[in-house]
Amino acid sequence: MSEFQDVLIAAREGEGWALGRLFRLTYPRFVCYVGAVAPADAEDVAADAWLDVARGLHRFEGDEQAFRAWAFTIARRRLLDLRRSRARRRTDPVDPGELVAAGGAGNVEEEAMTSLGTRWAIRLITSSLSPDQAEVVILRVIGQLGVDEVAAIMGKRRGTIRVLQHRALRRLAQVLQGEGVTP
Amino acid sequence: MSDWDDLLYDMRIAKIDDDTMDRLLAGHIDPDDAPPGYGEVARILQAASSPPRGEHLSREVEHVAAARRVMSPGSASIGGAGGSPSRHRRALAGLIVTGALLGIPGLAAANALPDPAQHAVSRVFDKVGISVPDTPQAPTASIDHPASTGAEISSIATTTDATGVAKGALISSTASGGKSQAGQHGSAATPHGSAPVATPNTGGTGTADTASGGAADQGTATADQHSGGRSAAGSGNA
Repeated sequence: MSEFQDVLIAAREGEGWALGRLFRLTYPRFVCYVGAVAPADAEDVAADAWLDVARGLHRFEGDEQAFRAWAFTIARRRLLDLRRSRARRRTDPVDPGELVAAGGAGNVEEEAMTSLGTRWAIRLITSSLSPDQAEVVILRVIGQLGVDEVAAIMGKRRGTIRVLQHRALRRLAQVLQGEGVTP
Repeated sequence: MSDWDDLLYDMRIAKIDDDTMDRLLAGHIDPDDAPPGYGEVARILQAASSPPRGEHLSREVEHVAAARRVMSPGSASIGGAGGSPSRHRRALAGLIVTGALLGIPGLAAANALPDPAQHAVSRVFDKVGISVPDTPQAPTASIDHPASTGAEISSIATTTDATGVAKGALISSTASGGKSQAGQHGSAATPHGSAPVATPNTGGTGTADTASGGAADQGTATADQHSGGRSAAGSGNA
């Protein structure tokens, strides 16, 4: 039995250490994922999603990768609930050019060590890309999910996800080059 | 940016295959090793894939405790944020009400409530056929009064054959549950007598007057005696 299965079994029995492991595996990523769309509600939505995960633990079966996909499916459902209630996609649109300048892209490696760098990177992604493109990239990067899993979560075909992510990264490259970041 | 500029930028951005794309998104390609035009993209993706931990994990204990609550067998398992503090407060209020509803009858059965509460609970339960000990003494005179209604007093006053002092004494005695000593002590007030001191406590005077048809002059003396001369009861009838 894998270590993750041990964690899962213990978490189902309410063991604090195991729930802590699952919390660390999901919650910070939920906050980033939701925060990319609704920064002001990120922690509340992430907390609700985490409780949904806890409620559903007894019926989940699978490995760690499947768990991540399942957890992000829950988080996305919570996010959709929020979006329905707000009826808008982005709460605070920002010009990607401003973000590139403000973030100091030359120091991204150093910034990556801080939460500021993470937030900046996520905001750059969401501001540069279409909503679908941004969600694909965020689910793949923050959720550490594969193409098939993202396709299932977003309810799209595998080929559609491939096209979206190609266009997304190309667009990102254009934005970053356009600002003269790359020598 | 013009179309010409776009073309120039695109020429510096290599076309990448699916495998390279997957490795980029997974953070497996070092920015320095990324295909032309994707070095900064690789850095951005690496930065995005490192969610800040400290600031979110500072509340880990709280969130884990909330998870344990929603996982417990008795917790609500469908919909909503059942573990949220506001919902817990509402649940607590419900428990308190339930506890009170279950606990009060038990305390009453054990005769452990304060006298007024014990009496009230006893009366309520008595109506539904449940026997609960009552307090030995009614909390107020009116509850167990032998003639607790004005109609009964009125009936005595209008149907009795007694007159004068005897009628007043009968009414007073009935109304007081036998405690009244009207007609047993003292003498009738003088025809023109009046209470020596005006007092705000004239209660009962009108009732006795009305009930006795104006003949309850004997009660005045008793009231006067018991009030130390401060009662004006019945003085208008003397």
